Amino acid sequence: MSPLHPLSAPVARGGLSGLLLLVAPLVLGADDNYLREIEDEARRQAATLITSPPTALPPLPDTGTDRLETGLDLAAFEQALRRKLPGTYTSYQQLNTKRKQEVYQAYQNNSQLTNISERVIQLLGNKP
Amino acid sequence: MTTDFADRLRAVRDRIHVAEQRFQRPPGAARLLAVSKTQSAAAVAAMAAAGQTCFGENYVQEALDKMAELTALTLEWHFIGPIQTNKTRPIAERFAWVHSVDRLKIAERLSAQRPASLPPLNVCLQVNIDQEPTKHGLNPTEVGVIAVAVAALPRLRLRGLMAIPAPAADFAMQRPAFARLRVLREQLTAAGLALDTLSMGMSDDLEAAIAEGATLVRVGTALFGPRR
Repeated sequence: MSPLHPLSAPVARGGLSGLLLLVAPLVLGADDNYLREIEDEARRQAATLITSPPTALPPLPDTGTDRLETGLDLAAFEQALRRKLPGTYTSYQQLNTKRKQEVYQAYQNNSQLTNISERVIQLLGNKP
Repeated sequence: MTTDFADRLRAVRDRIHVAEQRFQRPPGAARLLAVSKTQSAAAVAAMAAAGQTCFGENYVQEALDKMAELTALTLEWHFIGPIQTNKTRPIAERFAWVHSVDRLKIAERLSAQRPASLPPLNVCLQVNIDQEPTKHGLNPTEVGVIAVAVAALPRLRLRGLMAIPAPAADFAMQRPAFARLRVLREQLTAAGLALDTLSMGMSDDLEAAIAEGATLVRVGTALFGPRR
């Protein structure tokens, strides 16, 4: 299952340019000289732009393999859920015991984080 | 004092403008949010007199006190701090934006408490992009599921993502975390969520954030000086 639920509305993806330029950071001071330093630094950097080929994107967390440790008992599962998925855990706490057990069952069947998160939100939305 | 603030505001806006040009972003693509936490209402008023209209606050009561002093000004208030469940009502009632939603429960309360007389509350999901144990925010892995649930809430408008990456020494080291947040937003938009906001970048790293698509940069120190 996809980690995201496709919605019906089409979405135009915002594009960023392919040209990546590397510059040194601006260094801010706390005293009155910092304005002058900013301006000097900005001018210096503007004059020393280095054009580089597009760099590879940094890897996102692998949602396909990002899993909770398997074989946890319920208490350890809840601790791991709290640590790894804090937003999901808050919703999990709102579930009744039966539904928490369903989440635990879902974890036992598939320990992928996205699977667990989806199950919690599904159960939360499916109010009795 | 007003002159100092005007100079600082001009300098920060110039940094943003230069970064937009350098990284081929449209002019005005990155808005400046002045982080006024711990600053006085007088300082906010001075910055407003210099032309700044969007202010970010971390603490509810401090923000409410400033709002009470500044009712004569037309300002856009953004809440950017950690949200306690029992503080959602004043946030829902008094702010235009909330950048720091990190739980569905908080989003549900904000939606339920947003007055019908106001437009939907603009919200961003806070992402713990570097997965630091001490930081607030959603694990990137759970953002998709939570985002879909938040987007369905009637009195909220899910605008995008916010992150505070781990401090990094230089531009090259700052950029990857911002890139990860950008890609995360692209994944969400590809899945059908119309997100137009990346709230990322502060005084020390706004160039790297703008390079990676920031639409809101949250600047405090460079505008107001060191916090009191």
